[in-house]
Amino acid sequence: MIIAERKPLEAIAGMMAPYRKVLVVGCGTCTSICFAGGAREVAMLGSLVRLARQSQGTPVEIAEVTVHRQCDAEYLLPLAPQVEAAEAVFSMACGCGVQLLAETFPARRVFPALDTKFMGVTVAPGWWAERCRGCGECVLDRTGGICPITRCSKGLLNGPCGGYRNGKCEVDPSIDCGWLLIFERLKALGELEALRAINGPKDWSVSAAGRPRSVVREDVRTYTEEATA
Amino acid sequence: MLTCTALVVGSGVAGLTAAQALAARGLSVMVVEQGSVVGGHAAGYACKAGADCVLCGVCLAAQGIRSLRAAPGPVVRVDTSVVALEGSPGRFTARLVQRARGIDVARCTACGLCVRVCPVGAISPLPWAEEPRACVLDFDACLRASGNPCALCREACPFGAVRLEPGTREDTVTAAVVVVATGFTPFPASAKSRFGYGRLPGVITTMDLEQGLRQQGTAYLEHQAPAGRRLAFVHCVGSRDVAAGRGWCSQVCCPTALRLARRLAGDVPDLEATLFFMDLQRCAPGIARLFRVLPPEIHLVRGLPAEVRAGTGGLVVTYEDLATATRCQGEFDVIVLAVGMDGPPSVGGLPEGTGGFLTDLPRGVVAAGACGGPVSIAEAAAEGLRAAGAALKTLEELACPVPGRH
Amino acid sequence: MSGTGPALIICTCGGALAGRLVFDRLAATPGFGPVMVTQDFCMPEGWRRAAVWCRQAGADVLVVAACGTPAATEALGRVATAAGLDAHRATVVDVREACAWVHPEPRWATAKGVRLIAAAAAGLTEAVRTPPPAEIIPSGRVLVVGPSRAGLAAAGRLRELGCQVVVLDPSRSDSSRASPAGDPTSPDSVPIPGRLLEVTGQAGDFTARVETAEGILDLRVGAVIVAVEPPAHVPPPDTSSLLTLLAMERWIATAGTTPSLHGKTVAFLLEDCPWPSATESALSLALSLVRQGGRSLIYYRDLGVAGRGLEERFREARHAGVTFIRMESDPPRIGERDGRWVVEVDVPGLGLFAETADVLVRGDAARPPDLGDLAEALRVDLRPDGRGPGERMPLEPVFTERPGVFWIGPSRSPCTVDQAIRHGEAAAMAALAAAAPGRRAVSVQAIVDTGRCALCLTCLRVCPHRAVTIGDGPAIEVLPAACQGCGVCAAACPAGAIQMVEAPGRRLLAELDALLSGPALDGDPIIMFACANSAVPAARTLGRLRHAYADRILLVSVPCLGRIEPEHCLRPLAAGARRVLLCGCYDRSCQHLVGPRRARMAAERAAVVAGALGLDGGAIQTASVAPVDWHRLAALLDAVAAVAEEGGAGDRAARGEAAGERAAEGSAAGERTVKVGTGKVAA
Ligand SMILES: Cc1cc2nc3c(=O)[nH]c(=O)nc-3n(C[C@H](O)[C@H](O)[C@H](O)COP(=O)(O)OP(=O)(O)OC[C@H]3O[C@@H](n4cnc5c(N)ncnc54)[C@H](O)[C@@H]3O)c2cc1C
Ligand code: SF4
Ligand code: SF4
Ligand code: SF4
Ligand code: SF4
Ligand code: SF4
Repeated sequence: MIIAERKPLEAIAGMMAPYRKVLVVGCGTCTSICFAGGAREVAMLGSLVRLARQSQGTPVEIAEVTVHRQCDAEYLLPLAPQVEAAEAVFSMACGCGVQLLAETFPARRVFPALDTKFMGVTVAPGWWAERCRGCGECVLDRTGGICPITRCSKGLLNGPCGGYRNGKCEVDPSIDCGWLLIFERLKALGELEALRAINGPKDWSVSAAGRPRSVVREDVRTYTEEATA
Repeated sequence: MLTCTALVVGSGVAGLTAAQALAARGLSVMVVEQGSVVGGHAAGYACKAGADCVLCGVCLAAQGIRSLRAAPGPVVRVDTSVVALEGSPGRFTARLVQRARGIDVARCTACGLCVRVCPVGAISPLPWAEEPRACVLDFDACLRASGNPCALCREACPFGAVRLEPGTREDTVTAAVVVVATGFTPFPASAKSRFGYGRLPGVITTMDLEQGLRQQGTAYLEHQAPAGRRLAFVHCVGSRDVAAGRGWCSQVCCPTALRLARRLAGDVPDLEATLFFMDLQRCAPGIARLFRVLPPEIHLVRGLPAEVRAGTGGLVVTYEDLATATRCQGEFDVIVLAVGMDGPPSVGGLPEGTGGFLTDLPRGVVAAGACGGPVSIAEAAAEGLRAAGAALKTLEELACPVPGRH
Repeated sequence: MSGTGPALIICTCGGALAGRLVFDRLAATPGFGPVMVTQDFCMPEGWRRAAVWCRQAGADVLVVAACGTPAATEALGRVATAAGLDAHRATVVDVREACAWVHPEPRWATAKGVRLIAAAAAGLTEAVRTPPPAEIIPSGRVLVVGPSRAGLAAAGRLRELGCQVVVLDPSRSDSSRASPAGDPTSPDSVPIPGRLLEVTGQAGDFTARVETAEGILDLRVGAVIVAVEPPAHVPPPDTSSLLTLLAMERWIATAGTTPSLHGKTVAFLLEDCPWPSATESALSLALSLVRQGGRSLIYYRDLGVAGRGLEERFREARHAGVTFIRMESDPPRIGERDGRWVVEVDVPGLGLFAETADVLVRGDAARPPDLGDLAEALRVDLRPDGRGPGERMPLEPVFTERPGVFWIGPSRSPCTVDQAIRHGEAAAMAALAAAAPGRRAVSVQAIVDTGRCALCLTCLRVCPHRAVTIGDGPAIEVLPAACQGCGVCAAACPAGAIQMVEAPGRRLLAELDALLSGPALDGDPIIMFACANSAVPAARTLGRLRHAYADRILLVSVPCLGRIEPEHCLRPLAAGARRVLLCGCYDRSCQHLVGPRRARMAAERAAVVAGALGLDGGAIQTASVAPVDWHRLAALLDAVAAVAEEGGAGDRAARGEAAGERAAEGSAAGERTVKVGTGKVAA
């Protein structure tokens, strides 16, 4: 899922300062699950800002709503009346949600209330860790199911750099060396041989560093070329 | 003549647990309790938690009493003793004697109006009793005992709950099976005269301390010895003592003494407590740990005191310290005798073994809890479950229809 | 709801409350429709009258201002039934113990009463409709894991009670022998060698996945009793080794009378072993050796005799000639001379004391087998020492946190033979309650809003009773027979998707909002969230004792402190409350195991947020109390009121800073991970 974290209250309050009527929109999927932007967080943010503004003598009217998923316009369209009634909209989804809201309601200012962090997994309740960078061409088949691009701070493709100490990464000694993890996993699988193969240079043009990407699946697509044109 | 499928004698932890388990299986269950409140001994004890709970079980006993009214539940009669039991499986008859309480439990709301008007304070609202929530009238203290026609309480009661007729009423109840959960009798500490209980001020028992703490909090200690900060706990008073006719270990005294000492040391500044013991029984849940990490205010001395007498600066305890094999003396302000458990009050028709504990009960009669031998509260609850199972088994053998089974 | 608004019944308790509460003012609580003042609500004549009135008034929400006695609650139930009201849309407000009797000044008592009544009404209007009870059809069969004494006692009793029993023997699971009686479902089958892999479902209706020699089997059972024993030891080859009690026991049991021990000296070292079970087995071994003409020495520090008949057996052994040697601090020194053991101890008063022995038996509390896999299969937590489920008062001595799963015998705590059997029979009865055939209606307590659930699994991870499961549907599922209604899941759900029937999330907030407005009290309100198992009964006792405390302390009853969310703490502060007190059980006495801990987490999180807002985070406080300990509660309430009295701006600022510091610590994260700690909110 996508992991995000709420922006500091001051930052949100700053963005909200010019407005007297705002709408806060939560997302019921990823950011709900990572305790950043679900119904609970929306309510909490609402009460916090209301309180803060009250005490500053500039009360603000806050409408709160949480949709099932902000990355599908179908869930956003029904918000039209509420968006209409507000001077600004604050999204508690990942960056995708914020942007789709803005695209759907071009007449309104849409602000992010969260910092979108990464794609990751739940390690334990309240603790999430990054696992995938969406590089566009997965290498996990060759690395024992551990992603070198994500888990190695330098994203090396052919074994560790010389800097690891006691199994820890030289960039941040609090994390494990990704390549050591890969080595041990392959050893446990009896597939150390796989490390002998040299991975050629990676095609970064299909990664986030390349260009805005999109995926089109002919088998599931329901729109026509003309409709999008 | 009353009737039920299962009769439970005694409403202590064991009796209540058995009654609730049987009632939950759809049987008609009657609990007969000779006291004025439900819950037996444990209903009068104190919580001994410090920073965390020390697993004494007292609040569990209270929880059991509170859940009594959950349906389907047993019928409970207080102020009634079972004096004799006879019959055979399927057809037991118990003779009941009901003592007048002075107040109708079903109508009293414990509003306290009668308590306020009584000129001699003969009515108590029993504020710490969980069940029943009804007052008790002490006929001996009541003015009418001396011929005075006072009826102020009766006039004051808006619900017509006051019954000013003293005396007892007899009744019988028949039952197919009987669970006897008559509990224990605390060892009479005055029988060990060398410890001075009842003679020397400042000598109390763990039972007194449990009840005092429950009702008055640590203020109870102040009443015993106003500036007293030096406490001695004497273990095994009336236990493991063949000379006193009590050759059994009461099992709960070591944990209870330690828990009480810890609670007092935590709550009362400058308090020091010394535990005099023979062997530390450390098998209760969590107790081994508590003995391992003793607070600095608690001291352990292996060796039971020989005697307690009044000295100039407090109570003087003479003992042999077995760790050093030396004879010593110590001075204390309060001596707490950790009294053991004797067998239950007798019920006609039930055989008694050593110490009055019940053994070799006839078929269809099951003992539960401390009446069969010393147990802790948690064990008494397990005993209640076990006895309920045994009673059900008898019913099964009798081919009595047991609801809930085809 | 009909147009009349909620109905209100005020009970004067036979006039006993006159002069203590101003009934006219209570009756004028805003928002109510019809009002009735009665004097005997809990009496049969009283509640009948109330029921008739209710029907005539036609209201479908009812608040009764009366007392906190069980009688009043029972009467309410009767009124609800008689008047055809949804039981969850009617409630009793305790204005007797909580106001009239504890607040001597009628004005304040009444003001508090009005707030309590308004809050109850607000809560009821927000309440969810009661769902119909779920139906469980128990399997009528119980799985016993471990054919130990305790396990067999349980199985025996269950069979006597007409229950089918399957006994599994995990200690023989790796033996390749096929099970002698293959069909585990036949009622009198012998123990089947096999391993428990997983138990899913709920009390009454579990599916136990079992691995036997024949393969993997799914058994439908209503309850599971764990009674595993330490693994059997191989008999030792000769006498010159150091044995454990258990090994010695097994050895003698297999060898019958042991000629090789005839006339020999056996020393039992019980110095670190106060368990009655160890004493029991040492005593019987020592006695039998002495009776065979041998010599037995028992070294001990504390002789564990806290078991039925043990002290008697100890005396018997002494009379029969077993030698008991008490040691103090030092462990015994063990040496060897001429092929025999030499045991030397320092006996107080006697000095050094040496004895020779042919066999040494060490009394360790029989080590449990590795229980990790079993605990995992059952989703039950082990204690730090690796034994059975936690040392928690509500679970002792047969229960586990998971309803329908029981744990007995030496793998829970060392127990004597007598105890093992008793616990076995107790567990049998407990299991019967879960497994006995016959339909059972279970009221549903936690309701998942399928539209809102994001399947984040938070509830599954936090539920202390393992009542949440991943089903086939679009949302997480709560198993009604396992759910104990604590509300921990509802408090933790990030999507706000779980509603409690008794105290739904919305309802608690609505209640709070109503409670925080209304007629003036004797100062800023203090909100006390009170656990229904501990703080509420303790507070009621204060009422019965007429123990006065500050009028502005307003009590909000919750099923468990684990129900409290940070929002619940912040609302009152924002609305001008001076303090928020979360008062419940101790960690080890909580019926729901995690309540106090979760409450501390919520309070801490709320304090940080409050700090960031310039509110007084230190005004949120958690505390523990037992239901029987009214003194502690009284002292606590007095202290809280006193602090609230003096709580000035200075100390508020100081507390805010402290909260900020904690925040800074919390945000130090290593890897690129996000931990929701207390810190994040303010950082
Ligand atoms: C000083 C002391 C402190 C203790 N502290 C603790 C502790 O902290 N923790 C702990 O776990 N255990 C403690 N115990 C042990 C605990 O008291 C017992 O385990 C528990 O009370 C046993 O419950 P029970 O139901 O078997 O018996 P009881 O509690 O004795 O109940 C028996 C009931 O039966 C009634 N009864 C008796 N005869 C009749 C009759 N003929 N007709 C009708 N009713 C009858 C009695 O009135 C009584 O209410 C303590 C014991 C002592 C002596
Ligand atoms: S908007 Fe963002 S958080 Fe929400 S579902 Fe889409 S990706 Fe996940
Ligand atoms: S110490 Fe005893 S009464 Fe107090 S909480 Fe623990 S078990 Fe309950
Ligand atoms: S006046 Fe009546 S109802 Fe009130 S406490 Fe006395 S007996 Fe009970
Ligand atoms: S915590 Fe809430 S959102 Fe998450 S799985 Fe449970 S019900 Fe669904
Ligand atoms: S209410 Fe408590 S027991 Fe029930 S599902 Fe939620 S957390 Fe589990």
